[in-house]
Amino acid sequence: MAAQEYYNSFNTRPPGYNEHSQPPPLYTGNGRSSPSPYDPHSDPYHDRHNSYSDNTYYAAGARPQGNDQYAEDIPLKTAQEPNPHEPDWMRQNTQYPPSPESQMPLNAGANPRVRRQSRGSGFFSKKKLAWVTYLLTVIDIGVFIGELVRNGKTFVI
Amino acid sequence: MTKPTFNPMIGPSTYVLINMGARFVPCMKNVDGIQNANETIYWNCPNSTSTDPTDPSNRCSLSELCGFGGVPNPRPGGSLSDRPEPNQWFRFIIPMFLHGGVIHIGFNMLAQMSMGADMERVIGWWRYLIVYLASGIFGFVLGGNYAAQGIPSTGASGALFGILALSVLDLLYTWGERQNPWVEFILMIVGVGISFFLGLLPGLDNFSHIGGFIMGLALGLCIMRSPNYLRERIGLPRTPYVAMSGGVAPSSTEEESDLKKFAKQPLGFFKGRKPLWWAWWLVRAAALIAVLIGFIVLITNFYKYPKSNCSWCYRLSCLVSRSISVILDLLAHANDPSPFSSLSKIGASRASCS
Repeated sequence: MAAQEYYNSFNTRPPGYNEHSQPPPLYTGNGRSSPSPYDPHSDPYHDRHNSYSDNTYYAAGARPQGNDQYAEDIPLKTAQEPNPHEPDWMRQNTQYPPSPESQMPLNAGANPRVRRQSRGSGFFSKKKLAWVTYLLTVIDIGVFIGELVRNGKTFVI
Repeated sequence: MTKPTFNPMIGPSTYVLINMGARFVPCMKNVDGIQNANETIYWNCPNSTSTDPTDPSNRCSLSELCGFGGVPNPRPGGSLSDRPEPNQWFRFIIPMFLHGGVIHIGFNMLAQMSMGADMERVIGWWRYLIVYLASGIFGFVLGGNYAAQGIPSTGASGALFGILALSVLDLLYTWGERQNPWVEFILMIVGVGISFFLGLLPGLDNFSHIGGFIMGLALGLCIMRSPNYLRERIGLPRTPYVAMSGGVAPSSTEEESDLKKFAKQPLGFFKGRKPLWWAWWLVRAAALIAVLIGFIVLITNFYKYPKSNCSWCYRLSCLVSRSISVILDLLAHANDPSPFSSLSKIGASRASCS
């Protein structure tokens, strides 16, 4: 955002995305009686488009398209050609790289059990599930209950 | 649960266990003192609640006691070569999932859920399952040969001793990489001690412990990764275990390519190996062959000889059980301390611990 304001400070107008559904600003100070924000020579979006050649993120998020009167002037997603006169740092991608979580498949990230087991070190949060052991234990306990039931029947009869 | 005899493991009666598939030799083959007895032997029924030998619940046939569709009943004045003989071979396998009582299953499940689950995570489920089942079966085969023939045996102990052998091997393999190897070693010894004491009680036998441990050691040598210090010396890469299911890890593809290479040029696999490599692979192969031969010999002997050919071995499984069961029976006010009164009356040799 700071960079955005910095670039916009070269323009004669404040950033256009603050003007959405607002009256024309009164602080243009160019001496004209009826300052028009639609003046093509001072359109901030044109300037911004030129200077932010590859940072389309802000342009896309700046305002809703729809019934916007500015919509036809704003190239939202295009503008990939870099300006050769710009210094290199202007074209740097300032976004963070995608987090590893967002790269994971949806089902793995959505399963809270898998996530919990990957961290932590308690008794119930081991790394892997020992399925065969659990299955064998369930069988053993089930059979033992069966034995007890069988044994208990002899007392009933 | 205190009649007809008190079960020191706190669980179902011995006859229920036999009826549900415990390793009980008289249901599996002709046994000296049963098939060649001159009188009709009555067995306690699975639903026996009395200690009185004349009680109808104590006058079952062998077939009724064994269950599972029954076995040929011995006829009075018969011989050990009578055919058909009882042949419930599955009693080598299913007792792995039966337990003699709360104490028995408690200890076993504790070991299984801690040591067993850890070992499964380390070596993967299929190696774990192979060792578990093989150790359990081998233990019961050994017990069928050498334990007292009239005492049933149950429990996952043999299988767990196989897993324990894997843990011992793993500990020895990674001794230098562990923080407190001696502490873990002593904990294992304590666990073994407790298990052997339990093995002296009726309802389970130490032969399944011993057999399971032997099988675990042999299979562990074969299927576990060689220790890293050995791998470095014989020129193998230090690779971790690969789960069989996924197959996405790079080392599994390496193994596959190794296999393909071996299939194309079997001799090339053996070319240029170090002497230690040969020695180590010989040890592993010998362990597998030895345990397989041992298994075959034990099975053959089991069906060949109607009684154990080791006259003192059975005591390994019941050194203290007589004294303990007498004390417990006194506590339970039972009149008959011997769980197999019918067998001891006819003087079946080594039928029980007494």
